[in-house]
Amino acid sequence: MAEKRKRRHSKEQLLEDKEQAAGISNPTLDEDTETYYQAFSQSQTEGESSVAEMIEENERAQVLKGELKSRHRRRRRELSKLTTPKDDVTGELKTVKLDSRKKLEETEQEADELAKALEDARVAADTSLQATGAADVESALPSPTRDKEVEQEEKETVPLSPPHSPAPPKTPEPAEAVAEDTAPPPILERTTSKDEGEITDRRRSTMRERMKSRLAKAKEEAETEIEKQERDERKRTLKGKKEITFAEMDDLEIAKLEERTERMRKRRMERTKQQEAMSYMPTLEQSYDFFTREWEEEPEEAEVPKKGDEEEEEEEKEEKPEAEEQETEEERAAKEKSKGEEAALLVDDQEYTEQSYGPVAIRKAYMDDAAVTYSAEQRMLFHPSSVRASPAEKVEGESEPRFLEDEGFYVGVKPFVADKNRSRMEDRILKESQTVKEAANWFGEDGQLIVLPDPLREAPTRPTLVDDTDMHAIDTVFYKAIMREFDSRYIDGAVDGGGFYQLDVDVNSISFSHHHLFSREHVLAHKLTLLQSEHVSRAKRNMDGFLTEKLSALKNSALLLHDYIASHKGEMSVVDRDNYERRLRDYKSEISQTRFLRDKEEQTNRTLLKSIIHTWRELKTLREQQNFVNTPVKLQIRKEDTNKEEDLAQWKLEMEEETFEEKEKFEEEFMRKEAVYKDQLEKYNKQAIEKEEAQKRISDRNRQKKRRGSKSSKGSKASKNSQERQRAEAEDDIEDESFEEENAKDQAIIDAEPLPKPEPPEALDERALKDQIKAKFMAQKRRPGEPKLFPELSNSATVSPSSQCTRAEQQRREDVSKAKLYVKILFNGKEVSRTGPRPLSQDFNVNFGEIYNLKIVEWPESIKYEIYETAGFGSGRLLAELYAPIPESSVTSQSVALENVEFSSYEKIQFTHDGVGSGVAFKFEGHVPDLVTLMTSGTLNSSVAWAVGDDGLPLVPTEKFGAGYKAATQMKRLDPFAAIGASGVSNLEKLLEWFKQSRLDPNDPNNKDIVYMLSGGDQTLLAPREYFRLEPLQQEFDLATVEEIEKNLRYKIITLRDQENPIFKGYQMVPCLEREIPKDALKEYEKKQREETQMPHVKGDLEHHRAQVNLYLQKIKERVTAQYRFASHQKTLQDVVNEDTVPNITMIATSLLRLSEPRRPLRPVRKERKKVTAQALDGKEVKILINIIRASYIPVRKAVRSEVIEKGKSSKGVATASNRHHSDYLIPSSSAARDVDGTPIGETYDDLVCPFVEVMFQRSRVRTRQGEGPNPSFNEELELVLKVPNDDYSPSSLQAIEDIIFINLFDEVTVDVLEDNRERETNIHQRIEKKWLGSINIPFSTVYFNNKIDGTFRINTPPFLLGYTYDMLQAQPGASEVETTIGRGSSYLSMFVTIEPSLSLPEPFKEKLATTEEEELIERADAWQAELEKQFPKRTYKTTVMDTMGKNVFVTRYFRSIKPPPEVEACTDPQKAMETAARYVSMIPFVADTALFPGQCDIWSTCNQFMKMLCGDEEEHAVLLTNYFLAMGKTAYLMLGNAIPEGQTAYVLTCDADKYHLWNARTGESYSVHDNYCPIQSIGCLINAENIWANIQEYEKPSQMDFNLTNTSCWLTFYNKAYLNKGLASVQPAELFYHRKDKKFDSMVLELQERIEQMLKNKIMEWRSRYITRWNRHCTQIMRKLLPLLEEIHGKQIEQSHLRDLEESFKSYKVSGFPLNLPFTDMTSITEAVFSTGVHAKETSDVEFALAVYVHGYTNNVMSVWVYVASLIRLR
Amino acid sequence: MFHTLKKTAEPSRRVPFGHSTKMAEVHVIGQIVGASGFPDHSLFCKWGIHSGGGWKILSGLREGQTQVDNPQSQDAAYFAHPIDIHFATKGIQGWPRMHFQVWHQDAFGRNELYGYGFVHLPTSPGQHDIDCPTWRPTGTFMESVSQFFLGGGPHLKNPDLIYSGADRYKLQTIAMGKIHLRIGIILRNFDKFGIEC
Repeated sequence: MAEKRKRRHSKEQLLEDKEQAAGISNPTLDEDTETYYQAFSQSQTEGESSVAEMIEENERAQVLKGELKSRHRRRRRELSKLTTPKDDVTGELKTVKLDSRKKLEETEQEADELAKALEDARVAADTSLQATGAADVESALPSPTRDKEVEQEEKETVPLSPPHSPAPPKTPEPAEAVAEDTAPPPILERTTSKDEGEITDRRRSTMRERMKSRLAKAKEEAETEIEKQERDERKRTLKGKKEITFAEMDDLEIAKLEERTERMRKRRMERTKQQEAMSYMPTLEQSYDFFTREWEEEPEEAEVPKKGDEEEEEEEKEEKPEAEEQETEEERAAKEKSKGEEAALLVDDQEYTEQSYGPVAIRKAYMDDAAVTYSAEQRMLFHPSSVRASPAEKVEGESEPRFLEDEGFYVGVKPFVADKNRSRMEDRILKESQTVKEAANWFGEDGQLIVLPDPLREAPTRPTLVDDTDMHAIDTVFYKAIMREFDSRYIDGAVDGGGFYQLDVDVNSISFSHHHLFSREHVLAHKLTLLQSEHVSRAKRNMDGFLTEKLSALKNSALLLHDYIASHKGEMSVVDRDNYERRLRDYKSEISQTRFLRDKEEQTNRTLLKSIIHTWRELKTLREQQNFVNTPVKLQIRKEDTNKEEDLAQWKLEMEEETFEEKEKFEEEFMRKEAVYKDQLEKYNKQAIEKEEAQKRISDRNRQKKRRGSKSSKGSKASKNSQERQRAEAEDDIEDESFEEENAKDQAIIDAEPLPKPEPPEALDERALKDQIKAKFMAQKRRPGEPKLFPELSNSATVSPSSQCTRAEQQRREDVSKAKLYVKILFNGKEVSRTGPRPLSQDFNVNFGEIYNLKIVEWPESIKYEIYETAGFGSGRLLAELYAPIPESSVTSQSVALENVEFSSYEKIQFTHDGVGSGVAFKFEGHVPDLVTLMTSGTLNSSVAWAVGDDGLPLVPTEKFGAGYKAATQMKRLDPFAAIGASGVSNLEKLLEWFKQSRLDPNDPNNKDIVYMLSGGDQTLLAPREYFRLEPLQQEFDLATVEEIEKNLRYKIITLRDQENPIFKGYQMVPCLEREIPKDALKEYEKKQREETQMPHVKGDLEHHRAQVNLYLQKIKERVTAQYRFASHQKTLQDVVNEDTVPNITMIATSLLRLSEPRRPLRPVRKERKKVTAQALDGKEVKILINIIRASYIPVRKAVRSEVIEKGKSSKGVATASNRHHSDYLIPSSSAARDVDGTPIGETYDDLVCPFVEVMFQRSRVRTRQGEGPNPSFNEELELVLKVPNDDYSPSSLQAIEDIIFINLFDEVTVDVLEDNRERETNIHQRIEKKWLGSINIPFSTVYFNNKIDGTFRINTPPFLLGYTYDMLQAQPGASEVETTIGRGSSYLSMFVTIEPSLSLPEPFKEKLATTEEEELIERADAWQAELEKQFPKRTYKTTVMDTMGKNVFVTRYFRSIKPPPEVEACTDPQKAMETAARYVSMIPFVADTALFPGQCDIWSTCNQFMKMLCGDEEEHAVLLTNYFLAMGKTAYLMLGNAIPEGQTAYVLTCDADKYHLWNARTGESYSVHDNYCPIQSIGCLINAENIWANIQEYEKPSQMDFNLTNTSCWLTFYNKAYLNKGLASVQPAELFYHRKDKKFDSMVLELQERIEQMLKNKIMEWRSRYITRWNRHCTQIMRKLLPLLEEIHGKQIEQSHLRDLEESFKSYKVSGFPLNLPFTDMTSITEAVFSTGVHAKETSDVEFALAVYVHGYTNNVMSVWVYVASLIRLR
Repeated sequence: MFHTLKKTAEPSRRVPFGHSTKMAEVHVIGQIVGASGFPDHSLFCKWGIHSGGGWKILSGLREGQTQVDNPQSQDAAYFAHPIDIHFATKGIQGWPRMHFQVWHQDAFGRNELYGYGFVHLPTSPGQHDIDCPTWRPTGTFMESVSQFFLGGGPHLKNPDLIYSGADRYKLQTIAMGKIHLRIGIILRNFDKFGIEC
């Protein structure tokens, strides 16, 4: 079939190619074919032409064909290089051939049929013969034609093509096909085949002979075969060709046919012979085809001619051509004849063969005669026999087959081949080997085919593909649709997040060690049980036995050593002896130590035993007394009698031993003591002697003196030898002096403390020692003869039934049986399950034995048990709460053991019946006199562990404790031992070291394990693990190492920028090449890192504390920052999309309406500015605009001073101008102003000031022009540029700016410095000085968050300003009291501050925070707050706040009365106490949350955190103050609202006898609610522990509000009747811990004070480095006195009388100065504050300074720092 | 910001070879354009980038989630979610790949999984338009019934399987839609190590 297809294909190709290859194909060739075709078709169409004609024509055709063939061959040679065209041409030719051949066949067939018909008619035998002939003709036909036609081709094709044509008519086809197949092969092949052809030719000549003989034989064979088949043959022909008309056939024809068949047969034989001959020349291809095709060609007959002689060959040679000639001619004739006869019948066939046209003819399928085919096959094919050949045949040559296996060699197992197949193969090879010698090499020595052993392994080596249906990795879990996500509480982010995590809580039992229902007997019984169990455990440990043995062992060793030393004393070197002696000493000390321990043990044992017996006795008496038994406890004491004698001996021995040892010890001690004593005694004696001598000397001298005195008096009387006397007197004087000196010396000796008379060491009182030891023995040892006692406790006593008991006892028992207990299990503060109530047994145990499986979705934070007791009804009483530890992930329910957790209750319960109650003192009626108070207590036997899933994996959430934890768990999985080290349990190497160093007693059973581990075989554990890690070639592909990447500076910077590290945040450009990065880029960062990790080295305790606080703060900051980093990246739509709102109709309408409105330029409407986002800002400058409108109540200069100046001036004799004029020089502008007013100039000009406002921000300053008088108006706009780090204008970085806008009010003073008055008319020489009057500090963040600050602010002025006073006239007489007080103390400044352009604010943090509050509460809080905010969007309401852990806490939890510090408690006056408290709180430094915690989050720290940090913002201050006030018994609330300048803030509201006061906790000031100048602008809500009151009044200014909190129309409460306050536990501590102020503290404060003073002095000198700075000591002294006074009155206005002192003493000076008060944070902040006042800025040398610092230390390191700086200029 | 591009343009000024500071960097900048072919809109997509151990993220987010997009008139959901991540790498093993989870938010605001998918990031520089086909696990019959009526659906117990599973072939899945990515890759210094991209 395949062949057919090929042919068809080639035909098609041909047709196409004809046209295609028109260029290549020879047109003549085409023509020729044409003509041939034409001729041929003519001959066909002529139809019934005679056979002769046909022959003729055929001949012609043959000739033509021959011509064509030769031409074609030529062409082919030409085109040999072009394979495809050649192909085509050959294909073409073949079709032609085929056609012609078909014709021939047909004619032959016809002839055959005719012949058959004839023969049918005649003899059967004859017919058969002819039929065979015909068959032979059929089969042989193609060969001759082909031989002729395609000789050239044949040479190539024949050796290759097997003559496997089974059916005669088909023969040409396969041959053709093969030819086609073989034609294409490339030239190389052909050339070889040509060579081959040559060789064949030569051979052929010799083979012809053989052929001939073979032919004959073949003929015979064929005949016999045909005979066999004849019947079938006939049948077939008869059936198949009935339509053929059988014509008569004449004899001639028959003869002809016979002849022809004969020849045909011959030819065929010849051909096969030829082929055969050729086949034995193996070429490459042949050898390849050896097994496939050519094989069949080897017929048996082939052997025959080989054997024949060469003569025959010769013959055949001659014969053959002739025969060929004949045959062909005859054949042709026969063919043509038959053709002619049959032509008419086969018209259709013609057309079919033409193929190109005509209708299709239907033909019968060819049916091959199977028998014929088979016989043909048999002839042609070789079937190797499947009979096994004998090994002998197969073995080469003469050698015997040799079986290696039998000889003992290993012969591999040969692969299995079926015997039949192997035999065939062998047979074939054997046959082969007969012709080709080499073929014999196929066999081995054993006559078997040489076969390699079976390469297949018996067992499969490939890992089996496990069909793991239980693969967990691909498991899926069905989830319901998830409603909410992202909550950090949840392990997997959502309620029904991923995994299953389960905790198993096992509540096993509770046993009470005391219960309020205990009867007295129970108490005793319990005590007894306890003692007994203690006794048993002690007995088990047997410490005293162990120690006794140890002692004896030690004694032995010591003795041995002692003996050894004694015996070897002479031989030992000094070092050795020392060594031995030390060892001996060691032994001795150890002996005494061990004995001590043993004694103690024994004593305890004995006391225990005693108390057991004692308790038992008590119990017995109690039972007797009450006449019933309550407890089953029964003690039995087993006695073991002992031999008294023996004991006594033992006792004595021990005693002696001990005495001996003691004695020895004592002797040693004695020796030492005696040496000391002797030494001391010597000294003592010496001193005594010295003293005596000194005494003597003194008395001597005195006597001498006296004598001399009398002598001189005598001398005077005698008055002679005056000269001598004089000399003597002089001498005396000298002597006197020396006497004095010596006397003093001696006196010193005498006075020297007499050395105590040393006590001689007591000699050993052997008796006493013995007594002592005996006493000891008596106390702790069993007396000799005393039986050994073994108490045994049993529960065998029968408890008397209730009926036998007293009424009280019956009641008690009833109560006990009624009592039931249950345990609630709370997970993260929520009840998750509770046990059923279980009855309390009479022995006060409760058994639960229940395991609760908690499937958890939240991270476990706490697991709490609550034990409840109920008397059968109601929910019962909470007995105790206890917490279970959250199990580590390694603790699973399989590995966990039950643990006893003790609990106790503080509840007081008293009963009227026999129950002893709890927390109540009771008395045993027996002989125990003392009262006993017992609390209900007991142990809960329980465990908590992680559950284990069905698959054996613990259901533990993995990332429990962050990355480190994860790593540890992972490591654990890899290497359990490493994990132990990782979790810090033990370091074995260190342990070993320690073990080696410490002489651990290896015999001590306690040390058993460790000794075993460290000395035993487990040493391997200590060896370093030699890992082998398989990561082949990994390094080869590494481009860089991890370290390189880690170290790369550029990467570091990029990473830090990405992490938004404060230093690198907003860092815009990172250079692309590393070398472009400055080397020190990370310097600052690293410095900061260092600072954070290690404590900065600062002097002083206080600063140290501050540094610690800073560190702590830093930590909190980091934590919070980390928490909010993600949130801060959440972008809103406005951040991304910036588009104007599309105007709607109303907007258009209003804007249209506006057109018609009258213009009112004098009433400008403030337009809302558009917010600018950071992106839109790009490159523009951001400015802070400060509009200073006016100031009021500014203090004015004092007249006094100007008088002084006046005086000074006049004293200098200035006669030029009047006072007024003179002053005009000083204050030129003021006079003019006053002139206009018309007020008498001379009186008031001195009181004036020339104030101006200076604004300083980020160290740049701007100022207004100077104003006039105490109430100047400026109306000036000041601009300051905002500098942002890294030019990052994003909200997050803006809010982190900590800079403060300092607004300072100064008085500008012009000082005339003209020295010479004569020049006054012509020269002006003045100096401008500015004097600080006050300041307002506004943090930038306040401006930023409020967008604008507008209003009148109180200027912070110092308590007093030297040289200035408040103008009393300013206060209007009609003003209220409040107003006047204000007018007196403070100045005000009206201003407006804003940022240009208006910056966008960070989005308030809206994400729901984790909380531990109840869901219900939070929900209500949210709803309540939302409702209020809807109503009053501008007011501040708060229900929950964030604590430092980043959790939401309900705000009322922050309130709890906290005991104020001792300073406050010391105040008796309540008002004063409040002020002190406020003062105290205000002295805690202020740091805004926004600065502390970037991100607009408001973190409320608790009071103890606040105290620990010692800084916080308004809330913390206010909360603390509120709590203090609450503790002081005041009604206090925290007020949340808006104030200026802080913006959103917290104040404290107190209510005292219907007078409401607002306290600013930050400054310590209080305002009446009616105060107009109260900075509070709006009140949002009031909060305290009880409730939250939200302001729902129309007004929000305090002065307009109603403070009646019960008025529900004004105040909306959070808790109301519908929602009651359940009393949330406070997060605040019960009390704050206050350090006691002791001496150390005072000295610390003093030290700080001095340090500040010193530093400030240095700083001022540094700032004024151009001039000399002199210090006025006197002034400082006065100031120092003043400062504590100021502290006392909390910085209020000071009485003038105090100042007078100062002023009096400095009349000749122009003094200007003021005190500054600030809380202590650190040194730099103090210097900053001083610097900002500009006191130092006196640009002259003739100025003196005074500086006083006072630090007032409050409890807990709260410091109030006062700095008084003043400048003094001596008046000339 | 992207000196990287400039850098490759002027190779002559390179630091001589062997300078240890040359390290390979990959910068991935692009967006998750959207998702199409899912049974419903109102989709959002959780994404993450997974890379081998030798890869260090210098800047950028490793994972994220898009908004929910519910276009009224189109068949695809558009996220235009930016991706910008900068890697430094030790070697080319473990080249980063992106994995996705597409979620669907239904009318009740509930979220259910619509598909998993992953793609390798391209290794050649330039802009690439990538489609990431997604699939989701099929559950049991009961599960699919419940899913049809109540929403939800089977999730992988171990989401790592999205990008690492050798056993993924055992999963029974349903093909879902495609996620469309537009990813720009900037490579740096790979040529120093003889890696041509």
